[in-house]
Amino acid sequence: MSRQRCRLFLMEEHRYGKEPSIKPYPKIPLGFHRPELDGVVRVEALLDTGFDGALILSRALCNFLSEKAIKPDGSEELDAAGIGIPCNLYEANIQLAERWFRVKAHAPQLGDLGTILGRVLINRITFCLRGASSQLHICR
Amino acid sequence: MKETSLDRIVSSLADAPKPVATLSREAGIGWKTCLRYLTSLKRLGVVAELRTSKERIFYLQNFGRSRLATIPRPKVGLTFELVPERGPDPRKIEDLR
Repeated sequence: MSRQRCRLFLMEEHRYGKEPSIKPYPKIPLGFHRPELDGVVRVEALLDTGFDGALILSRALCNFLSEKAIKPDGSEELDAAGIGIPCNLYEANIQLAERWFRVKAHAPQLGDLGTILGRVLINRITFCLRGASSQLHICR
Repeated sequence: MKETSLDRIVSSLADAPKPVATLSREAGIGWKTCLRYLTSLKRLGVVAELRTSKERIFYLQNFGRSRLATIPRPKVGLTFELVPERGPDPRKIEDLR
């Protein structure tokens, strides 16, 4: 059975990330803001429906926050595929699809997982994953 | 999909730690059946038990801890840019903490 149901209105369009020997993956740009910063950090994040938090910060971004003497608001262990990773927690304002959200972002104290967007934020936005054409649409 | 007694026990425990009597009432099953389910969940490491002189309280292990199902291979956002923009209007921030 085939029925046309899509009535989405396109707001933003982004290309999937492509790297050698890795299947293309959905990624989107976002804004990271803390009152201590003189501006907004613009960074890309991997869209990961397997993460049930809001945002994981890359090592580079964690280091940047430390250099700016921004103190974490708490700590929590992140269960990453069964392994507990100690994380600092930063309350931050995240801009996504022209909206701002206040979330708790995880900053791993070990390793570098990159910047990962989880379901706390993903579930607030209407995404259309067009894997066949390697495109991610943000809609309303 | 039909919600099983086990689903109801787990969702009930997601709200707060609870004694067996409360869980069995909320799941709509008998006290003994509920305890059997809880004992199995405890063996699997899903729930933990706290015994007091009056009751046995069960709670979800690692409740509230964020989970990353798998560690992604691509590393995204290793570089970033600080742009001199104004932050959000505090009245327009949606609080998801």
